[in-house]
Amino acid sequence: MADSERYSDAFESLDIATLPESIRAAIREIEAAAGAVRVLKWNPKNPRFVAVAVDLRVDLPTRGPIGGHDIRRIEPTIILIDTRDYPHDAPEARVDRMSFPADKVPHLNPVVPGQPPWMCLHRGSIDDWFAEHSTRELVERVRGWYRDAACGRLMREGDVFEPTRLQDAKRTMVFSAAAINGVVMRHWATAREAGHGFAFARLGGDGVRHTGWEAGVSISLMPFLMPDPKAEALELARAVNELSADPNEVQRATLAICAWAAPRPVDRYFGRLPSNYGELVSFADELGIPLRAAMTELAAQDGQLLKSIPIALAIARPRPLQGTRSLIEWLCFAVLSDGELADTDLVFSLGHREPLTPAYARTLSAVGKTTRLERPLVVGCGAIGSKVALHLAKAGFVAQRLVDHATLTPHHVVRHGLLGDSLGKPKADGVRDAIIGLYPGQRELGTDATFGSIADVLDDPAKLEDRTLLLDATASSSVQYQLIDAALPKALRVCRIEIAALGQLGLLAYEGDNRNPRLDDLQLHLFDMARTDASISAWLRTHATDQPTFEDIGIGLGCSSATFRIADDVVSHHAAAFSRSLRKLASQDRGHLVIMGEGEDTPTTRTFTIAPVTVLAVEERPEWKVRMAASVVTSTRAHLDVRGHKESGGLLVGYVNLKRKIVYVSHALEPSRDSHGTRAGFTRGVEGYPAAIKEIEARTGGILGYVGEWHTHPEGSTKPSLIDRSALAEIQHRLDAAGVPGVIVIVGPRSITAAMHSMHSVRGRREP
Amino acid sequence: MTVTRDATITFFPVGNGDTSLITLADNTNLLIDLNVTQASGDDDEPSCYDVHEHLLRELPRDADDRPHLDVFVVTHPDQDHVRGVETAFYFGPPEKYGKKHKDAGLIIVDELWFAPRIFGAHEDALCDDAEKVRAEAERRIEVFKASKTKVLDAGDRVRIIGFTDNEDLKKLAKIMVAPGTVLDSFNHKHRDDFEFFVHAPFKRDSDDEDGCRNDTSIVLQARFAVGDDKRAALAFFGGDAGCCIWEDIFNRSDDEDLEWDLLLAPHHCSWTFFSETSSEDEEHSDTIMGFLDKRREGAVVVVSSKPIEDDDDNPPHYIAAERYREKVGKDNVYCTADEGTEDKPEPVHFSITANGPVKDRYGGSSEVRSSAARKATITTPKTYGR
Repeated sequence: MADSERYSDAFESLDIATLPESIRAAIREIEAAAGAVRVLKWNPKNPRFVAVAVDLRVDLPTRGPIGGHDIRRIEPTIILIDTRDYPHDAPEARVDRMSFPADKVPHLNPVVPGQPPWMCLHRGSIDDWFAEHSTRELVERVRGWYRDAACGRLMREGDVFEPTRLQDAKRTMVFSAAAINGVVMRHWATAREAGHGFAFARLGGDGVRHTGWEAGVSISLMPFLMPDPKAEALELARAVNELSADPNEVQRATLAICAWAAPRPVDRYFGRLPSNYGELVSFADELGIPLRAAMTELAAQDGQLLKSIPIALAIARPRPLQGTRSLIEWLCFAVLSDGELADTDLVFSLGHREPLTPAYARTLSAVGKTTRLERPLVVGCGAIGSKVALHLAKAGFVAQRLVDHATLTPHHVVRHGLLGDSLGKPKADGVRDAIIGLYPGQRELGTDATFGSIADVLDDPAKLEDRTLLLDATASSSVQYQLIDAALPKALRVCRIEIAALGQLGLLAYEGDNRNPRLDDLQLHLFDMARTDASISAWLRTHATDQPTFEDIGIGLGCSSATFRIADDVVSHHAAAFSRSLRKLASQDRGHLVIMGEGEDTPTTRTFTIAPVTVLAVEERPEWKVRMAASVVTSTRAHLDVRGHKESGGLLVGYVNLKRKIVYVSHALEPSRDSHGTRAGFTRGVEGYPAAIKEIEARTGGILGYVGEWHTHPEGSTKPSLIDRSALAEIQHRLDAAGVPGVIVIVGPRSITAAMHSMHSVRGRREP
Repeated sequence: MTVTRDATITFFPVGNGDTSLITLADNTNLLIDLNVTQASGDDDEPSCYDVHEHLLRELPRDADDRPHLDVFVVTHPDQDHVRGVETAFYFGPPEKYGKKHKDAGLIIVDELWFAPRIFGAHEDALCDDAEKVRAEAERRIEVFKASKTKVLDAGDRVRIIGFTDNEDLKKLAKIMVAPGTVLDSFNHKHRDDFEFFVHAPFKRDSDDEDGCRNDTSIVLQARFAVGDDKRAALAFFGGDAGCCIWEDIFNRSDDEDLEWDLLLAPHHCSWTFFSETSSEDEEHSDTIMGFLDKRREGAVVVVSSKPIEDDDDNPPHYIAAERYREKVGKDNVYCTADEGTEDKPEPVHFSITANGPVKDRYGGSSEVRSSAARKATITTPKTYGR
């Protein structure tokens, strides 16, 4: 080959007049940027591609290219224009000089032998780049490519090696390089020489359909190697292939060859890759890879089961490959042969892809390890639960235990994470299968499913003790109370997510350490926010008209009902927000309440840290408890007149759960103007109170109201005095009409006491 | 993994004058001379490149968003080497730098270098810009004298390049740098990746009342290190130094201090580099030819001047340019007036590689050009109609 021989010497010339004006304009731009051009036919049979040959002037370091590579001041270059797709497809830049050192520089897209080397001009899509740049700038970029090649700076990160660039994403081979590298490294450690092995391979891969070599194909290799083509492995592959005649039903199995060179670093780049079997064998020979020996062994066992033979060849590189920490590069091919192998048999290059693992998914999702999300228990795999479970699984949190008692029916899929192919499956099983399906070939993901209710889980300690987070996505009040009552393992954090107000609100309650604040405390806090928050108030007021019974407050709305109207995108919106909040909260030890507003235009997420509540026993009525918000403790304590010892007091606002015998105190009203305190006692006034209570009742849809009174004992003991008791009796007497107990809370500098009237006459409608 | 950028040398298109910027890998910037006209420009320089804007864009800023130039080297106080210092630089106590200075885009010169000749008694004829430099030099010297042992602040730092018998200056030994010295500390920071070898001015030139200013120029050999190679690229900057100075340098110096990959043609490609005699007879000094032969393989010459024409101008001198071309090859002589187009001049820009400087495309230039072009378009009235 003459030193200055060009690929374009063989091209026929082309009459510019036959080209459309846009192409002629592009050629004029090239001429303006680079000087005289020759316009040629790239392919004599196909007029679509126009090769514009130019001599580009290249700037070199004064003492010549770094590394002594043969890059010259004048580089013949072909700008290849696709007349049909220009300017949407950027012209390709090809090296025209046959003696160009294509194996010495990175950033070349491999081409089949005989084609001019193809420069990679842009890390992203060159078509996207070209959409915003001119042909003239493209020519400048080509000159820059040569200059960068001469300066040794095509790879900016000097300590990594660029793997062979394969533009064709249609054909891939999927296997864990780390797993197979282990075999190669062990072989190198003992023998320090070339070697080979065989891997069980599936054409089409797990879950990937094989649609033919032209359309594209994916081959999956099992992550272990056999030293020789074992008869049992071949028998197994044959048996797999006989399961069905339809390759879409059962992916075809065969043996793949994995062969590697001795551990001597290869620093050449592959600007050209083999396109037929003869070239592939020479390629392997050049690199010192024993492909011939492996092929002979495979043939001796009659091991070519399919038309294609998958082949993966490994070489050592001088530096770790870009994007990995490994020195080993795998070059993947498939030979298509009808039996007797011939040099002319077609060879395809395949891009190597790593199988998806949870760790890889986490890297891709830019998500770190979050201990509490590692083993979640997801109760309720409905619309919200399934979507959140899948979000978490895609972020690598796969070891989920999924619990649901329903199967997927047609109307569910309108807003469910699963699609039509899961109809009829128990929802929990469907979500489990979907998660496993994300990670083909990965064993021990730890995903499991229980077709049952929350009771089935709570009854079985084994289902709870290895869990870190219990995610209640049932929107069921019953489940909520079962969880409140349950004695859960200490390490298990409870979190509840639900959609309310016809999708206008998304609510996430995350319990604090030692289950304080608990789900019910968080719920009360939410209700209390209605005093000041218009959107929550609006929802509670609507809720009150729909559901007049006091005890039946459930926040969430079950999405599984066919009568329920809400769009999938609204559910997805909340599910995404829940999943994001969970990732942030899962490392928190304090309780949290997250409120997502699905406003018309501006969705907002508000996150509140909720301090633990103070739980007070009631001496007179031990079956009762008072749960008092931290803010109430703070606001009442502020009235302790430690110096003057004058008593003070006011009203308590909250909610009484008769069934569970809990008085929730969410808010304390300040002393009224006509209240009067002395060292000896306190007279609670009335001014402003009726209006204030009425306002709170209105704003909370009647959920919150008067539950009792508070006063201070600045001098110390918070034991109720005789006067206190008589006041309490009077309060209870009035409350009897409403059927609720009254409570007084006495706040002292060191203690807080809750008291109820001991001679109770509460006529609770649901008292057991 | 750290990605360091290559060191660069940028020669700005400023007509017959010098403005050369050395930028090191950590964005330390050394500017050798300045010749900028107001951005609006006079009619003789319709396409002048906005050096001030370029510097404001590229120079690092401190916590108060004030732009800093590490070192400004005044090779000699001629107009075409100090033009525009007042509009580009802040001169005065750094602590007095205020909002109005920032609004005016004034750059703080952390360390100022100059030759002692600027204080020569015969320098009454200094141009206004040079007077400004002299006043600032005097201010900094006073700060130094008052500072005793304290390290001067950025903005007060000062270095005098050369030798002197001047008694006043003799007390300043700590800030004097004698020829023959290697300088590897800039703006109070020691470097491993770059140094200057100081060739001139010599003692006799500095105080010689009869010598012309061009013969008192600072002459520096810049040495760039890449990897283990301390001499990956060698570049000469000699201001307007004339033939006899270069002959002296050649005769006094070791070979390694004379080698070069890049030479900024002295005095804007003037014939005075090649000979003491008139250009008419085209008799060049053989010693100068000897210096040009100290170039390493592939070396380049940069001419900072207006376009080189085949006429009687000097500088740039056509025969002088031809001499350079004969030595390094016609493709290896770059004139700052030829870069870019007439309407959109661009700097001549080199990146430093292990194998010497490579002529490079200035990274931001196309954007700068387009924004400058847009600015020019919208600030120019247009008349439409028939």
